[in-house]
Amino acid sequence: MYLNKNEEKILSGEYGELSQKAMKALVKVGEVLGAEKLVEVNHAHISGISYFNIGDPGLEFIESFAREGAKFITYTTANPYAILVPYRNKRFNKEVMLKQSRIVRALAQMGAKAFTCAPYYIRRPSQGEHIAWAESNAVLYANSLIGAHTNREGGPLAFFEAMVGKTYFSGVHLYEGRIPKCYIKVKKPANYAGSALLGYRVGELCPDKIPYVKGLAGMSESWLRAFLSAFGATSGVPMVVIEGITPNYKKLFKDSDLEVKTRINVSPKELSISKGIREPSDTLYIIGCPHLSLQELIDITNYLQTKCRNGGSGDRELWLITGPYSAGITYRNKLRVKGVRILYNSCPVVTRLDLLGIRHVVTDSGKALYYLPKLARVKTMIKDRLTILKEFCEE
Amino acid sequence: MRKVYRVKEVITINNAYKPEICGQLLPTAKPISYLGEIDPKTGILHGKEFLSGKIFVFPNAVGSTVGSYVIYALRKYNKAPRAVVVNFEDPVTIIASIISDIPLYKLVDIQVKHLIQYKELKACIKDGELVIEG
Repeated sequence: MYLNKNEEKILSGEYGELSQKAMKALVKVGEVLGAEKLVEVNHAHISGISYFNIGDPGLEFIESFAREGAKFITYTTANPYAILVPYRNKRFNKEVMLKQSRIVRALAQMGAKAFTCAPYYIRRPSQGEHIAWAESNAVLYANSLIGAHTNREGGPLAFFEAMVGKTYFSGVHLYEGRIPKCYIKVKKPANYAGSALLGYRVGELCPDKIPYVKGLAGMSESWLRAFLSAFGATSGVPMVVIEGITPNYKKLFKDSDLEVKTRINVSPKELSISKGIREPSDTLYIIGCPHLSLQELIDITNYLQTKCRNGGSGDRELWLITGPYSAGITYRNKLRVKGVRILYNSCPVVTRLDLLGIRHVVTDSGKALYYLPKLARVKTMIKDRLTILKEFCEE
Repeated sequence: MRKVYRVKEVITINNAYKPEICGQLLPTAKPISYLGEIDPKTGILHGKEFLSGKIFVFPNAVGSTVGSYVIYALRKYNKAPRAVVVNFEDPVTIIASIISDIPLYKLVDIQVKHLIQYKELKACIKDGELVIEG
């Protein structure tokens, strides 16, 4: 791989052992993936922040760099951390709280600017820009909706890339790496949860090939995020070429050699969405995976303020999850009395909700549907966003 | 029975002698999401399969990019597989292999689904070959 003089100096340890270690790992990954050179990145986004996910080994890995004074030299954001608020007076033990705080403190000390799974609302990359993001929904958003370039980096790799401000020039950083290899024709979903379930299914059909998806043109950004984030749970690729949406989709399609046999029709009608099933009285409703945009939060809180005057009584709670860009929204206290909580910078999917006594969750997210039973260890059901709000208000 | 398949070295361990790597074959037909499907403390996959000391074979990784830390934790808890063999290598798996010092190989001329029948047989990797003995 070609390295410029400065990159050679980092690799030889002239700027210290820590950046040398980061550069060595990055160069190795680049060589394996056939990169001819490195490219500068203006934004790195790190995953692997929850103590429940990375445990003591991950905590020690991150702290070992922070302790020695390592810094992120490019603009860096990080994924949300575990939710640490109590639920019905139950809270996590002090050790968990302390170790989660240590992870956040170490990353902030190294230069992480914000904690959210929607870094595109903190700093929106431009079309054609090279970035180094982990967090699958953000990667898919950047490549598929904006036309920025980022591979789907592993958490520690993005951490190293933030330290050296570079990534390897291969995969979707190259035009050839963005050409779709799998053709999926779909019918436009009828609602938010339908978009999520469709993404989930398309990911299963194309777990290792960039799909070209026909049939979603004109869909809202919110529904596209639902689609892409669920796709990221069941597929390993960093991009979906969406007809009518993805920048350069016409050229990418023209340059692809999609075989007829890869054409598959997926109808949302095939996808089952639970309807009319009464959940237990201790059900927790969660909306905000990925993190709600400011506009989505405003729309939901407006709905709750106007349509939900008696809502939220009884045992049920509704959690609305968002990032720091929504801080300062004034509905917080008013909604709290209705059983609504707005939670910032954190994520229920990466939290052991079972330890808080939570057993049943209803969500509108395909990604949460996939991960909550596995990671948060709760029974999970998907319903459409509007259905959840209506049910919550009727209580 | 003796079956030989070609493999490409993706990440090798820090050992100049490149010794033969042997273990029981653990192939899975479906892609793996490390986060949620592997418990790093016990080294158990899908709640039933032990990874420790195995030659772990699967088509490719999917799901969370946090997965690299799950593999790293497997190493720290002494539950790591002896080697990982895939059809398609991705950045999450590659960086996991580098920081965890677990050798990573790519199958050259066969899909993982054709190896399911050899589950639990002894397998060795050396000089670009995966040799399965039954």
